[in-house]
Amino acid sequence: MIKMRNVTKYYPNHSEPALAEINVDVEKGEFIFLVGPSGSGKTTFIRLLLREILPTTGEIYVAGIDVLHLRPWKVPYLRRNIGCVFQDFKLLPNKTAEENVAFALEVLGRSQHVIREQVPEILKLVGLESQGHKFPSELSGGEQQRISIARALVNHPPILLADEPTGNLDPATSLELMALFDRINKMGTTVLVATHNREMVDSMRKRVIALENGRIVRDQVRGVYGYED
Amino acid sequence: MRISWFFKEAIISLKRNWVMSMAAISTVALSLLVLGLFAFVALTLDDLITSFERQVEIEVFLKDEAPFQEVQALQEKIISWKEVKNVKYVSKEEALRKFKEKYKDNPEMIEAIPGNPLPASFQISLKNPKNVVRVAKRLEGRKEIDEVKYGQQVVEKLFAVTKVVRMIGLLFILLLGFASLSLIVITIRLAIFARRNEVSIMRLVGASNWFIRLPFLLEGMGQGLIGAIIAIILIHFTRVTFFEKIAKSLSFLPISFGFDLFLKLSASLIVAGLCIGALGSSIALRRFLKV
Ligand SMILES: Nc1ncnc2c1ncn2[C@@H]1O[C@H](COP(=O)(O)OP(=O)(O)O)[C@@H](O)[C@H]1O
Ligand SMILES: [Mg+2]
Repeated sequence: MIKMRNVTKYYPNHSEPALAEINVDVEKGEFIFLVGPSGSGKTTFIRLLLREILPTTGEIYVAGIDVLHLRPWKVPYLRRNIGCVFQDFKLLPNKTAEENVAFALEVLGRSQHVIREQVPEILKLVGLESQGHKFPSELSGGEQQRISIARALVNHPPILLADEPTGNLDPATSLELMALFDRINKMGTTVLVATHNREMVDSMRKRVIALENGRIVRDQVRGVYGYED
Repeated sequence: MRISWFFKEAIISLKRNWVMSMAAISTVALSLLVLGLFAFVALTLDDLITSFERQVEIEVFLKDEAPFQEVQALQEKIISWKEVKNVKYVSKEEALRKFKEKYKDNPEMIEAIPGNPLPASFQISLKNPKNVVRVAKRLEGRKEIDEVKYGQQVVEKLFAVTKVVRMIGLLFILLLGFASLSLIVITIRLAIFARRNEVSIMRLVGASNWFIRLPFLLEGMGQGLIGAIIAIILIHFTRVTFFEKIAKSLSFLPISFGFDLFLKLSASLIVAGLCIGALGSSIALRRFLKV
């Protein structure tokens, strides 16, 4: 599902690489934690998969697509394979929860018929079928993040990427969200969560890829967080 | 694909940005108004000049001693030149008759002339008056010919005037066109900025580039179109209140701003407005090409 070969990324005007010599293979249906202290390169890792940035050297394949040699106009088709969730939710404040989810289908040109069918279905999956008419400001942080997960999944992408999805949430809400990610993973979606939330990682016992200064220091099946913050 | 979605987005954005949109629309309207009025004036001037030019002929005075056969041969030769439309021969007798006709109220003028001193001549009209000088030079110095006369100064002055008028108009239109283009670029940039969150989510979920750009393109073209319509309405009023009066009071000049011309002008202005709008938003969107 995801393959990285000797990927190194230097940002302009930085002498140290943000990522160095990364080699990763992720199979379809895996659940992976990408852990590491702040500045270790987690966000850079995710942006490379989305082709928001290009690596300095190396090769990247996502869902069978050669990311480096992808024509710029085809990038949207890469992104349709990847659902994406962020720490700050990125919901549109002037749209209701339902409308935020529907927006992801509208801008792909899906018909009204498909939208009416799929939006309630996905809201049900994230457990918010009764909150669809509310605006983001009327929802708790955990609920907002569920809406953003619903938006990421409504188009049924094979991969879900999450960058610090619980960074703004309390521990109990974070664990609930992890359970949701686990459920989504069990339904067949490949899930990659970048985080530095120790409780979450330790409680889940999933594959852990640990980054430090842009290098993979550990890649462990059923791993733990393993750092002293 | 729901086309209405794009129009809805474009209209929402036009409303949200209405101050800048008004500024852009007004400059488009102003430039197209000037363009339209200028085009009309230029067309009228062109008509005037052509009708003047038609009157510009070359007169060739022939020597009395030139044999008639040679004069005839020369006439045929001139007619065969590709610049020449027509050559009319005026004999000595005809010239005298015309002279007497012209001065029939002054018999003493006619009596003062002994015999017939007037020469025979060719009156040459050309297909394109621009060739006057060239044809005249070719005729000068032939042995049958005494003198070649043509309205060189008049023609050259007329051409100079049209040139200046065209240059000034072009300059004006370029300046105003540039101003309207810049304002459209700025409004569309602002519209993109106002909607940067929507846009970033659209890109994230994989909306195609044209899907992201189309509402902005429509917004720019809408501004161009509204500007053009305002300009057309203003030109219509100028036409009925102003030009028709001028045309009436100067009925001897070939000035006319008929409905036909107005329709053609309107169509061109709408196309121009749409083009300015499309170009402006394309420039504003150029950065979007980068993924
Ligand atoms: N846009 C950028 N331009 C320059 N340097 C950056 C940029 N983004 C991140 N970096 C640098 O790259 C390194 C890794 O950052 P990041 O991938 O954001 O780590 P993390 O998400 O693990 O906190 C850091 O040293 C950071 O300063
Ligand atoms: Mg980060």
